[in-house]
Amino acid sequence: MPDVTRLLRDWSAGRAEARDELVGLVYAPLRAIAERHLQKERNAHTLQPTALVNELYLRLVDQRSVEWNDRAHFFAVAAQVMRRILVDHARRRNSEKRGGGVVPLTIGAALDVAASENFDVIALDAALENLAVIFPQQARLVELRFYGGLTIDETAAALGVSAATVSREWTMARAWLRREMNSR
Amino acid sequence: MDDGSRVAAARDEFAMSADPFWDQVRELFHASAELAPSERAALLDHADARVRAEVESLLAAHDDTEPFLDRSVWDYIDRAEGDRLAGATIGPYRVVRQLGGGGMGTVFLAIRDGEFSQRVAIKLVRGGGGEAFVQRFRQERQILAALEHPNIARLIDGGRTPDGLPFLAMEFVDGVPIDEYCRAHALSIAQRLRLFLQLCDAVQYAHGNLVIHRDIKPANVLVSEEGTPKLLDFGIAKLVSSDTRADATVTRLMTPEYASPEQLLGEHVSTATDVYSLGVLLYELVTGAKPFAANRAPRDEAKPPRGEIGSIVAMAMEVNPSRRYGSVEQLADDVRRHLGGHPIAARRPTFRYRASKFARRNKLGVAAVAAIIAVIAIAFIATLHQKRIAERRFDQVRSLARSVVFEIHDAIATLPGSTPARELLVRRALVYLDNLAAEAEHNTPLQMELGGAYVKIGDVQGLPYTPNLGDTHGALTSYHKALAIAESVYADEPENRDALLLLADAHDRIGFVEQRTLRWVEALRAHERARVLREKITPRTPKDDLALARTWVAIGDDVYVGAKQIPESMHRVTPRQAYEAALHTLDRVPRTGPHRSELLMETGRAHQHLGGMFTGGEYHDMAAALAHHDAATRALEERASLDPTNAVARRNFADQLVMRATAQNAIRDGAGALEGTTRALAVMKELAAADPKNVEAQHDLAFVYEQMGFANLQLKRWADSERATREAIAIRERLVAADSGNREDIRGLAVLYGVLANVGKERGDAAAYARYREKADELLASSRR
Repeated sequence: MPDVTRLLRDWSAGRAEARDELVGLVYAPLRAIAERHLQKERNAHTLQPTALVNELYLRLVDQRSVEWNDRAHFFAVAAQVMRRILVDHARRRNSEKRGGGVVPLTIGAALDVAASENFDVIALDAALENLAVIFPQQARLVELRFYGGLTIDETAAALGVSAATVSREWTMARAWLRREMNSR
Repeated sequence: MDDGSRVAAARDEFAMSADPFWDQVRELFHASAELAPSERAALLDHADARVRAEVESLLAAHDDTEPFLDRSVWDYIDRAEGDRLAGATIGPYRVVRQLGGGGMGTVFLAIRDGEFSQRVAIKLVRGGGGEAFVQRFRQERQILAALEHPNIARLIDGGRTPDGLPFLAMEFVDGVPIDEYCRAHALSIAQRLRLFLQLCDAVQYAHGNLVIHRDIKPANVLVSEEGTPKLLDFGIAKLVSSDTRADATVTRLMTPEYASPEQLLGEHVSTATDVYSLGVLLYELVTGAKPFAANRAPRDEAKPPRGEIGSIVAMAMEVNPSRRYGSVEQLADDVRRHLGGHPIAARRPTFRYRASKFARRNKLGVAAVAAIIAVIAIAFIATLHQKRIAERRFDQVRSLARSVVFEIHDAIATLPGSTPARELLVRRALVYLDNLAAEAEHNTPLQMELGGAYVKIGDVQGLPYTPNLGDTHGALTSYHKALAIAESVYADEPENRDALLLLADAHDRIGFVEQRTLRWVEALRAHERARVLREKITPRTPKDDLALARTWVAIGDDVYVGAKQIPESMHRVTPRQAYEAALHTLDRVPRTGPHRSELLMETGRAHQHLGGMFTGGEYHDMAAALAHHDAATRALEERASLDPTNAVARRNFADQLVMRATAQNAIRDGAGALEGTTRALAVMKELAAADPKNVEAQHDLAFVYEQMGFANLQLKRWADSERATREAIAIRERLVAADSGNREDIRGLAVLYGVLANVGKERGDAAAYARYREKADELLASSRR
């Protein structure tokens, strides 16, 4: 799918809309891959987000014409997509009443686990929007860590900063989001 | 650099917020978050009330211990899977709960149906390979099940789940990883060593039964509450090792903390492999840090083990298996001797150990860490080579060295912060190439590789205007070595295009370094030789034209800047002719296509230098100067935008803004110059912070501050001018102190003291004027010496 390759290029070159188009293109395949890993392929019992995203990347991006930094961009897109999947799921779940019985193991079930924990997916999304206004890089960092599943080191590589910086800013972003969500 | 300023540098990696209020909040939060609540008051008391209120409310959230965002979405997905399996039956076992996800697969706690007393750990093996796994398991189970030792968790069973996934059932150990245990119980070094000795005993026992562990690491050593360590997963790595998917290999390479060099290379694994991993574990137990972990926060930094333990670790972690302890028993004996106060047998530290210290000192990116692993891999193959195991090895060393020097080096060269990694890489590769070249004197391709490698290391040592270590003399030595090799090859094979190119490259670079030493005659001579060689090349590719244009610009610089030194007999072209020859050469390069970025760079460079020339005395024409600077700014801005991650391109663009500012200062456009330098300063500061070892970034910073001082002088902002100038002086004084071969900065210092003298004069401070004037004259004289 050369489109993704071209859009990554455009985004790298500074065309911000390209990122939104990318998110749209990547949404369905990422969701499909995550579900497939849960349902069909039993030989991968521990999900490795980086492996999944790598797989997606290999599938969607024309390897011959990309540069190393496109990969970091792609991880950023995947993290955004995951954020959107999570919010969409939570919205749907709020709007429709689910039937009883056995819950099939879909990504939705997994997201229910996430949503039933100690925070509200939609509130987190809104808080993150607010954070992005003040500290856009912190918001990106949260996206990569929480939605993208990247480790501190991987996040540092993707953002092109040191791990120490990621660690410090992550601490502050968490405090900021926690306060924002508590005040709701 | 001390830790305090490193922390400050790390903070600056994140861009400022649009609102200064939030920057203050961020700074104060970072400063106080690490402190205990009782210690914060002192800091907060000084802050503005609004900032303080905001930070306090953030700190309250920060201190909240409720889990929050402590796992990623993906962990939830993973756990949903674990919940699904809870209660499931695997063989005769019923899953109770998930224990964790290991490198090889997910681990569950299970009980044997009907026998509640028998708790087992079930490991579902990811990518274990189905039927093949069961085959291997049958072959190995007799041996593994026979391992009975109080410090080894027994293998009980294995097979396939109903849906075909390989699993292993092992003795369940209720304990915590050994590193956590040591930390939690604050064990003394002696206590840690005794724990370690029990492990050695277990590994030694297994080796006696011809079983190699292959994957010793803290996560595989659990210590029970009573303090008994147990090794998990003995021999398991071999069972799952036929997993040869490419990504598995890559994963290994990227997380190599405990793997021995021979494992990283997929070489023969022996008991020495376990000795190595025990060495890493010992390192970690006594220092609390991994020898190869990168990106550690400064305050977590631990010293590598010193003294006897340091020697023991170093010998266990020798790159060459034959130089490690011959057995686990010997390793344990040395630890026992140390505990008993007897002399140990270990020898002095070696490269691997030094490399580990290097990795510890430098917070490098993932790419650089991977590169260091490659270096270690070379060290390993090279030692094999020294033993002349086979001709095949020779080719391996060579191809690996080549890939390090030419591929890995190039891949990380534009990453900010990669300078020290580049130096280590190239230097190590060079040692091996040197050894090889001694044996293959008449092997032309190898000689060429060696020459190319010398050029690369010269670049890292001190090629001006690129990230380098500021070692001018070292760079010249390396380039001259490359030159000697290229000359001898070229003499034998005048048709060899690569030799001709290498010769031209070496001459060019010698010229660039001589420019920095202000020896313009030598610089011009070298560049002229490079030009003659480059014009001989046929057929010409766009790359050749780009290189020739670069050489023309250099010649222009030599005859323009070095005019006073260069004798009449050497004046073949005027600076203007040289720069225009460069632009003319660039006309032959296609405007679109793969060379776009380089074309923009060289075009920008030629215009930039023309702009500089028209600014100066003899060719003074400010309208022309500004026109060329504008053309240069456009070209370099476009180039930087083509690849926002290319630090060199961003640097060149920022540098051009400063060059244009010099012209703006010359026409008394202080406002324009201040705007340009302010923009450039942000970029230069960021690049310098990202790569503190890069001396060139310091040169750049000094230059920006210098021009900023000038701009403020024009605008009659005396205090601002003095402040910027003093920043520049501080940097240049450091640079001069660190590199005695560097005269350019001595002259630069003279200029700066001249600015201070001017500020003094304008302010009516005659004493300051006289003092700074004298200092400037003194420096100017010493730069000519």
